[in-house]
Order: sequence, then structure tokens, then C-alpha cells
Amino acid sequence: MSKAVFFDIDDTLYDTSGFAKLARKAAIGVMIDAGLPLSSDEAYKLLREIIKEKGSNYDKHFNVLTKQVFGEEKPLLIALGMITYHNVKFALLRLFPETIPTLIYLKSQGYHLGVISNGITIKQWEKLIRLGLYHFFDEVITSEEVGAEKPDKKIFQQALDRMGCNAENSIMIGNKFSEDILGAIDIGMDAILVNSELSREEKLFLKERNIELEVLPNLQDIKKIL
Amino acid sequence: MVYWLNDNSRFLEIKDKAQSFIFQVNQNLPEGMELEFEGFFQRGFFVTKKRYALIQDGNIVVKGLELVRRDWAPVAKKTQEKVLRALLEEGSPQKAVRIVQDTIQEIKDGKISLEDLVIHTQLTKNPEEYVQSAPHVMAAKKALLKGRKVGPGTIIRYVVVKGRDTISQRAVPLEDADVSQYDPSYYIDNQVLPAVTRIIEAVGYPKEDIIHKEKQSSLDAFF
Repeated sequence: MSKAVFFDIDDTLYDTSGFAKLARKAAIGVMIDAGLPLSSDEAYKLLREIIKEKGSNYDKHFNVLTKQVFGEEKPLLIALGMITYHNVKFALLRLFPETIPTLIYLKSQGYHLGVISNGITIKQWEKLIRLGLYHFFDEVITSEEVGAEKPDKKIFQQALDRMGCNAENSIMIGNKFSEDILGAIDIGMDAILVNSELSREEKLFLKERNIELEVLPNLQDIKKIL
Repeated sequence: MVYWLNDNSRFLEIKDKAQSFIFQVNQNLPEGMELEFEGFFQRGFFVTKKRYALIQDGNIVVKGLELVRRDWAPVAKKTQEKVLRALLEEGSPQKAVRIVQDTIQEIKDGKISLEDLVIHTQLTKNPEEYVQSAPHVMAAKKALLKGRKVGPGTIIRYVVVKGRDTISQRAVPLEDADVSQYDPSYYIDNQVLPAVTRIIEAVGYPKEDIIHKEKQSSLDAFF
């Protein structure tokens, strides 16, 4: 039976949080230059409310924004906003420096690599391609395909099935305790929490469920377990 | 099994190592002498042995650097804070110098608001009982003339304005101050510069570099 390592994408393989805000601000700046009658702060606040309401995977945030401000959609402003957002986002898209060496190491150890992600399939592949990572991954399992989001067991089970692995031979790496780590331990996989703090409640939760917790002070320590 | 990749735990490891090192050293020290573990800091600089600034997880620890002087205006405190953060968080003396230069320029351009210029000092006795004429005493006397009640315990808020008299004589109660009248030289020479020069000099920039940003680069600077 083959052994597998599954990854979350955003803020695990690459640094997401920083750039989305910058890209949104840049988009708003261009829209204001072209006649959006709001201050930068007002427009950013409004856009954030729209994103919160519609979800970050909704693809017409700028349409809604212009409709709310003008009472009708403004195609020029929407296009300007979209193009600027995407240009800035792609200019800023960066892997964590440790990502590629870690993936190469795992490959050299004979692991199959997969992605388990809450999101739209084509968008997740797009990220892997733009980041130059897609050759590393055998499968990308998304909530869109499975119809269930992490930490739901279904998405983890389907990932294991598609990779031909069982839970004991697999490990999940992610930055969200409530999605990546909980989902993995629920199905009996080991898990590594990265780029995140572990709260007292979370530590307590593991203790109550008799799940052993080991702190790895250094990325190199991953080599001891994988 | 859950693993937590946590770089911060390295600090705990360092603490362990430091403590076992200290334990060994202390066994060999003469009686009455003891080494203690003060903390683990990511970055710091020392002006002298007893004057230093250190940072740990975003918290700045300052010793002997006159971080808080009661008679400092917010503009001086804020500039010092920004300078320390540039040095300790970003390790950038260049940025620190630029912060000071920019602040000096803003002061010269009259861009500082009254609330950043105001100095607070508490009166300990009635204004007329003071022998010396400190700025806050002079400001208090002006407030008295305007019919306001001041006495022991009153906190005098004043701003130093332009003029030819002594600094004390130019201290005006906040209520009567006009922001366009503040004295740039006083706020640069007596507030901002004293708050930051010692720090910036300690990381290798002479005071002259801070003040004269338009200074020509020497040829050496290009190599």
C-alpha cells in the first residue's frame, strides 16, 4: 500500500493572507481613479462587506460594488478592478521558502502527494500551476467535487480512496486546526499543523481525546517523522 | 498523532540551554556572584553596558534610555517609539534615520497637530510660590491671568511658541495656543533630537547625518 502526504494550499504551501488585502486595495485605488466616488477606506470597507456576504469564491464582487454605489453595474470600473486585482495578486503570489525543498524531500522518500482543499477545483489547480507546483501532486481533492468541506470525513475518505492509501499510512499538513487537523484525526490520519498557533482549548481538546501532541521546533524535524 | 511545527518552541529550547549553562557557570563563580537568566531577545542594541533596548515578540524592553520623560511632547515619544521599532523589528538604521528626518521636515513645515505638541506637567505648589520659572510655571501664570483656576495638583498643558524670549516665557497654555505659532526649533532641538540622537548614534549614525539629510554623499558612499 502506498503512503501519502496531503496538503492544504492557502497559507500552507504559499503565503495567502498578506497579498489578498494588498490586491484589493490596489483594485480599489484604480477604480477610484476612474470615478468611483468613495474614499479608499470606504470602498475597501464596502468591498470587505460584500466579500463577507458573498464568500471569497464568488466571482462578481466588483459588480456588486458598483451596483451598490451607482444603482447599476459599471462595466469599465468592474474590468479595471478585476484586472488590477489579478495582476497584483499574481505579482505577489509567493511560496514559502521551505515549500519546494520539503516537497522534493517527500518525493525522494517515495510519498504520493495530494491536495485536500475547500474550494473550487479549477481555482486550486490554477494556484498550483501558477506557483509551479503542480507536477508534485498526484491528486487535488476539493470540496466542490466531493460536496463536503474539511473537516468532513467524506472529503478525507475520498482523498484516501483516490490515492489508493489508507489512513494509517497518510498524513495531513495544514494551517487550520478546525479544518485540516480535526478532519485528519477524525478519520485516523496523523496531522501536522504549520504556520499557526495552537490555542489552549485546542491543546486541551487533543488531551481529552488522548491524541498525542508533539512539537516540532524546526522544519527539519519533519524528516524525523516522514 | 498530531505534530505542531512551531518555530517559537525554539525559544524554550534556548531557555533550557541557557539555564543549564548558567547553572554550570554559577558553580564556579566566587561566592556572592551569580549569573541570572534575564530573557531571550530576538534583537537588541547597547548604547553602554547599562543603557540598551531589546525586543522579544514585539515587546520592547528599554533600560536607561530616557524612554519616558515627563516633559516630552507626544511628537518626541512617538518618534522615539518608531525609531526603536525600525531598529529592533526591522533591523534598519537607515529607516530609523529617515523617520527622524521626515519628522523634522514635518515639524518645519508646520504639519504637527497641537495634540502632538502639548507637554503635560503637574504643578506641585501655587505658581507664585515657585522660585524658578520653568515652562509649566510660566504657562500656569498665564492661565491665572486669564482667570483660570490653577494650583497644586493641576496638570498644566502647554505648547512652546515662536519668539525671542526664553523657552519658559514662550510656554503658552494649550487653550490659548495657535497651532500655526509653534516653534519648530524648540520641538526639533529640545524634543525630537534629544529623544532619538543617543539611540541613533549608538547604531553608527552621527547626529549631523540625521539633521542634514540634504548633505552630499561622499564619493566613498558609492563603493
